[in-house]
Amino acid sequence: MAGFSFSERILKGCVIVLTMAHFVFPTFPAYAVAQGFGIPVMEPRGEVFRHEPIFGIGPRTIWKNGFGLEVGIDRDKSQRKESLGLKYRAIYGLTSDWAVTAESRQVLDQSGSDDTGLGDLVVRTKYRIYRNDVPGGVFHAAVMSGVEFPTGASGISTESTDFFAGLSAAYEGRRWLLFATGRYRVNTEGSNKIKRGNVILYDVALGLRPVKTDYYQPDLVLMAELNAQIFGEREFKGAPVGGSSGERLLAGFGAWVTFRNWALKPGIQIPVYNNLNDGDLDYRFVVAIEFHI
Amino acid sequence: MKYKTPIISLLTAFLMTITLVPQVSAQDKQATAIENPDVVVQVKGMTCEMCAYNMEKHLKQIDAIGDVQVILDEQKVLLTLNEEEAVAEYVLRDAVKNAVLDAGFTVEAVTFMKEDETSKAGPEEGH
Repeated sequence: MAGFSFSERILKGCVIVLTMAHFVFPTFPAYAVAQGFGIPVMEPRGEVFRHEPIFGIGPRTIWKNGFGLEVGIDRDKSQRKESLGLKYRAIYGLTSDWAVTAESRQVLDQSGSDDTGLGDLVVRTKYRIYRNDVPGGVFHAAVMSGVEFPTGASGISTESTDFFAGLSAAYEGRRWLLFATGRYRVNTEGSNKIKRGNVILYDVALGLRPVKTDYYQPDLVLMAELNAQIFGEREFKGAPVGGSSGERLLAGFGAWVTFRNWALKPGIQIPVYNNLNDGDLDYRFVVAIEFHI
Repeated sequence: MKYKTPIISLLTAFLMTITLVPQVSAQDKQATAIENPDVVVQVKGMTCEMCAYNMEKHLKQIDAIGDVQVILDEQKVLLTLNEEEAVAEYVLRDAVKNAVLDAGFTVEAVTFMKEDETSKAGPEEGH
């Protein structure tokens, strides 16, 4: 990707995602494609919610007036840094196709720093623009947008208000599941005069339900994911920081274990390719519990 | 080995799951097993436990409905009626359709298994 400009990367990524979307939905509506560009979502850290990929995100919303809570523990380890945190997330369904989510991560421990506490508040919305229910499955797509507010504790917060947007498409069936998502994140300059580079994220996830259990029986789905992250150049006091951009490809493996309105989701993510100077992730491990009412 | 801790944790979680799932499956049969349903709802779009929970929750909010049994593999929901809260068939049909819609699924058919005198006063059946 080194020969591509940032805008070329965006275009190329959109083509990949939309090609996958077209593969998933042979009748993918033109308006969904048109609206997919430049719409609001997310950060590199995993998105674990209601039958979504462990480290990516999917088009799932929650039912009308539905409410979900999730608590997860995650651990990131790189050669330079380790971090242990708790993630809290709440989702509310305005309609069966439109959901609002609020989330934050509490840093419990990190190497090289005594700073702990609650991180920035992320508020996002997801709207399902396409849904085609079939017997035992659903083809669907959603657009997402959100804002990360610099509400976190000192040393934890990014100290900038950041915006994100994305498009996600999926087929979810009783046996196989396939997700494809593209996201773009715009970071602004924080009060610390640092502007982190904008980020493009592409995720593909494949799920398999080895045993088709029925309701009131624990449901196991195995997930394999590929998560690509492209980081733009960082700036400090308006000046670009050389060598701060780059790409990273991560592989994730995980599972959903669901029983009625409870879900347990463990997953691990490891790097496959990385040319970031400061992105030497060794692994990321997450376990989340989710509850819906 | 830098992945040792998370890999061991993940394997442990998987092993526990694989060990426990069949046992719980055998013990924890569906709470409501309906042998003679009053209504059978054929739907599309249910894929998982949470879909089934969602469907059950929405249908149970209808007073006229007694028990609900979701059969994921057949994409079918079996209902018994609450005789104390009886309503006309066409009213119940609309309520069921709206509940399924709010839950985020598609209704294929709502079939009443027993003839209902009150249905004669209502609109024609439509899927």
